[in-house]
Amino acid sequence: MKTDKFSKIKSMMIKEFKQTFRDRRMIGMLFGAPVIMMLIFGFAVNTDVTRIKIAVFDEDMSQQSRSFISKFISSGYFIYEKSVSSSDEGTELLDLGEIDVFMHVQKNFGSKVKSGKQTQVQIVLDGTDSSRASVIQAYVNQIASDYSFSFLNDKIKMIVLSRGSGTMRMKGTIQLKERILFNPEMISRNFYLPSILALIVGLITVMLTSMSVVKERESGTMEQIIVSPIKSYEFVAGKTLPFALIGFVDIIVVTVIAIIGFGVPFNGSFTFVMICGFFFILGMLSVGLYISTVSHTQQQAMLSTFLFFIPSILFSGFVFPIYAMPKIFQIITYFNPMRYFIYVNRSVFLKGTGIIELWTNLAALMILSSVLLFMSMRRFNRRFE
Amino acid sequence: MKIIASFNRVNAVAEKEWLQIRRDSRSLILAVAAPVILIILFGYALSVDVKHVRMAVFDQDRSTLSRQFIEKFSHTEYIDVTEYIDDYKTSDRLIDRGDAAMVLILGSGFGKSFKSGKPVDVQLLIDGSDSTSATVALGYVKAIVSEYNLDVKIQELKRIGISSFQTPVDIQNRVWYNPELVSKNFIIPGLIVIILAIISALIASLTVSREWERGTMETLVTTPLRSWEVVVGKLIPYLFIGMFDVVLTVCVGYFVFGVPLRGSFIEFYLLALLFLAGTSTFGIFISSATKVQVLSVQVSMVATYLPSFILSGFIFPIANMPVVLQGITYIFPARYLIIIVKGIALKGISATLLHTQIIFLACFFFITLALSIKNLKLRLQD
Repeated sequence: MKTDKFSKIKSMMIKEFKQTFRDRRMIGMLFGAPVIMMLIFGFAVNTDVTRIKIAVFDEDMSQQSRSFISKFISSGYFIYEKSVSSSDEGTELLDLGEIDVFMHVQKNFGSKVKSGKQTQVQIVLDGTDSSRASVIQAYVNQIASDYSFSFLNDKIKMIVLSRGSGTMRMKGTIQLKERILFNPEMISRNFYLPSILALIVGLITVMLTSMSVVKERESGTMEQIIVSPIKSYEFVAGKTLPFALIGFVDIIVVTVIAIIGFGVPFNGSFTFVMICGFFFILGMLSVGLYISTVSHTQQQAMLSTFLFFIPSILFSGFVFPIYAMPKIFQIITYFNPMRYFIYVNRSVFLKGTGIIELWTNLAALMILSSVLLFMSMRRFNRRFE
Repeated sequence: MKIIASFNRVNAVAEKEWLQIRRDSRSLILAVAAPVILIILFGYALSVDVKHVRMAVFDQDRSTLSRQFIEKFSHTEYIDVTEYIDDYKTSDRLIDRGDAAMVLILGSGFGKSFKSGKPVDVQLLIDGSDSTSATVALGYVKAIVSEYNLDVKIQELKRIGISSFQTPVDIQNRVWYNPELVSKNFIIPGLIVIILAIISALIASLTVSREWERGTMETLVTTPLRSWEVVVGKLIPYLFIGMFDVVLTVCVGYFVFGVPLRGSFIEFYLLALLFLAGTSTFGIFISSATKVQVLSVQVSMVATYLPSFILSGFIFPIANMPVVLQGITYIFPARYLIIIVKGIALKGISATLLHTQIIFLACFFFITLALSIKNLKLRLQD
């Protein structure tokens, strides 16, 4: 009896594999697409704020102003794009988007600094990309206050020296020693690539499941299946298992590319990723199945997949950090399987943490995917009969 | 006469396509309502502002000075001092679990060496896995530390009797186009572009492959229609939907989220139309090339969704990419519309400054149009 059941699922699977792979181009899409997506992501996804283009209007042209400006260039963050001869010229470059920052050093910069007065330096930033702009702002302020600090420090030393040493005790300065953990060079790619895993696997499994069930209905072959002795769960198992397998293969492919191709560190256990991946895929297949029950045509299935997918990517913490969302949406993200799988991948890749730290995420994935499976099976059964 | 006849045929195809879309009411609602819902949802929920970064403090000194120094961190909305801890073990645990993004560690000699004039080391552990947030957070900490140091120096000058000395350089930051650095002001215009790109290409991408799959292509073949008439006729209804979407999404951005629109709406509208013509034609091209719906979807996803999200300069700056990839970004129309929407909405510049973008968008449209006409062979398969 048991073998009989299994053989039914098996023949369903074989049929599904054959149908999927009959179109040679489909194979390319299934395995080629993840590779292409990985390559594009790997090279393109980079939010490091470097090579900030700056134009300078140095009205003063004194030794002081030059040394102040050179602090920016030697910091390594800025690229000296152009020196301009009027404010208008600078702002026009800003309008055209050719520079990120325009700096205006006023005429009496040098003489004021020497005489101990305060001088103003005008910085105009392009704020259209607010996150880049706020990093640039921090760099500018940092360099300026370092300049001020070392200037004052030299002044004090000179005064104390001229009055004879030992007359007073000076206070120390605080030196910040930062230690950046898990991603010491702060490469944004290391943060994004592990999450692409969830994206690619999720997209392919949901899409394939929903479309293939709907296709059955659209081409009328669903009726044949209903009249056959196959039971609904056997149909579902046979239908989805091939796509689950494809999902697993994609996990391996993507991980290998991330590690070998892009040098993303992998510090944790791959088994744990696969275990979480299993429940993630289960959840995604259930979503695909659910979508198939609410769609009549492949076009609708595809649009619904998108309607499901765009929010689940954007509310997963992939690009837009969860901590920056309003509280209600932070709560919504707890119902998003993608959130957990992305978090697990990032932690396992970069931090090397495992089940001890991440068991809540695994548990959440298990609960979510069982609920999703239950819901979609119920709906599917109703339609199957 | 010929022209009128051909115009009539285009019209007929458009009408048929329109009827087909209209009768599939769910697709129509999705095509019209989805963009608006998405914009409202994301516009409200998404931001990349780094605020309230969680920091734990491990103060081994517990002196007045150390407390004074730590105090500096609690007066900013950017950093939340969430916890005071007593050992390194806790600090490791907090960072491993992601409960704290940073740990500030003051050694036991903090106050003493500070008073004696030695440089004092303060350690900061940062979770660098989210490098973007980490960079910004590190910037905040550095700024607070150097402000503290500067204050100390100014006070020292006062103590030795020189009170006329001021901090030499006062930076006057002026942020243009987005003075409060609100991330919504660049996220929403970007989202509009991406959603338009996806919806227009996706909906159009099924139109020809559906004819092949349902066998209605044979009917089309038997009519006097020429390829270009089919393409243009199919394009028109999708363009209308797209134009409607543009108005809706821009209204939502402007009225609901208060994203500024400093330039001319008409100019933006016309350019968006050019963009939509390109992306919809591209969808038709995919559709006629693959002939299978599932495949059309897969291709159009890879070819529109990902590039317009990743290669358009929306979130990931193009200047950061390797040169080869920068070259590739020129192929994707979303790149140009992003520049256009930022230019017109935020910078308020006129279309004349955007001529490069316009030329590229026009090229994209004509090339895809030519390709899809060439590709759509009104001939039965062998």
